[in-house]
Amino acid sequence: MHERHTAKARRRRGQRLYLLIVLVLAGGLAWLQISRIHSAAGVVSGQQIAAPKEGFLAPEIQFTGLDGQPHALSEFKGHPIILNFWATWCPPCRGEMPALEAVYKAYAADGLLIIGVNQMEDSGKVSRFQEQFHLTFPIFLDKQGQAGATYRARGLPSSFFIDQKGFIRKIVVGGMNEPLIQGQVSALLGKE
Amino acid sequence: MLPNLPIPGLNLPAKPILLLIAFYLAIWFAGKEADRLGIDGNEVWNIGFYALIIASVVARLGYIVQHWSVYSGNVAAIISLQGGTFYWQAGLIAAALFAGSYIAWKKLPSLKLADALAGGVALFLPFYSLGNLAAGDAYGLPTTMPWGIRLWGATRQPTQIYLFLATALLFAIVFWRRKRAGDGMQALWLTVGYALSRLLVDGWRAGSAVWGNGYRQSQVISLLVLVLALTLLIVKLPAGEES
Repeated sequence: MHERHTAKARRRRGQRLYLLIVLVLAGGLAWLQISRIHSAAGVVSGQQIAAPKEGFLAPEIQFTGLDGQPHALSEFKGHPIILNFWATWCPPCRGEMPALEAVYKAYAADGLLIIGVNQMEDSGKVSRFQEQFHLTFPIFLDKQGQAGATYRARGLPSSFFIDQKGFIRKIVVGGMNEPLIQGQVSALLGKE
Repeated sequence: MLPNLPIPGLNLPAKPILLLIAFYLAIWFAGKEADRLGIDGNEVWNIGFYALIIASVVARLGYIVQHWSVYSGNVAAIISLQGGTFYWQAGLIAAALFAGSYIAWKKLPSLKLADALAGGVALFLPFYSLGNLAAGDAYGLPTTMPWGIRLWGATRQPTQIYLFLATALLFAIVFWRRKRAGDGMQALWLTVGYALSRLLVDGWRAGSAVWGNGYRQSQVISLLVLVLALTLLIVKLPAGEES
């Protein structure tokens, strides 16, 4: 009599627990359906909002050429871009310049642009630096540091890898070596 | 958002530092739990230490293999370490394989050890969410809810805070029932709880990778893990613990 009761209770318990699994599965599938992303491309790539974050559109910024002419990032839209915030006094910035120049030369034919945005230094100092390091990629001045602030470039150097559509694909804070830059550029150009 | 620690003169990123502190605390707590369960706590330190080294080395090798076309022409660069040149998914898989092999090789009581490690993992997870909040990672979809947080150009669901609260609750549960640990149930409860939390919270996440018709990968994986862990839990559940 007692054994029959125990077996019955165990069977009832098993049924209740398996019902729980079915309910969890059904609820989970329902939540997957409700919360699924309707415009996959928009959310996966971080929406059409400009923000200094991977997956978002690169925010627009203004800067000044070494000749004093005003320029904007949007002028270069359509190119894969490495937007590099730097300063002459920053050792890792100096360290990565030869690598940036080498990658620029290697991939310029593929449309790659490297845009150096110097942080709050005068044009004479930056021009001398450009000559000393034989840099051929375009360098601009961010005199008030507004472009750097827009990109929250708190640490120098900070590099933003931007694809042809204007989305930020990768952010690297700190000095980069050539393989790292090449790897990211290959990904930008779809060469992997 | 607090991407860098507010220490004058230093530019220290908050998230990696939080994760390092959390890793240390997790290993310390798991070691204490192991001691309490009758396993040498040093074994937990060994697993944690070697797993970290193996994860780093394999993550680095994984990155090199991924970008072999770049490194094949510049072999010296292989040993030139650089932040951002690690493929951490490969590292994590290698660390898990190492931990499993170490436990088998040392013939450690796997269920007790799983429960001890569960305590450490449960302590690590809330810190991980705080790290994401500090760095602005794992951000939510735009919302009009009054508790939304301003982040990346929009008012967003505070998914990092949701997951922090869920994982803090999970740690409280694991801590509360730790006297009953030792049979692998702690690890299973933690798996069920974390999978459920991710399944729910990731429903408000933006920037997610998707499969098929807009289904987030993390949610699909969480649901599969949840059902599997729940089945195991039920199979193993002692009669008195059903409620």
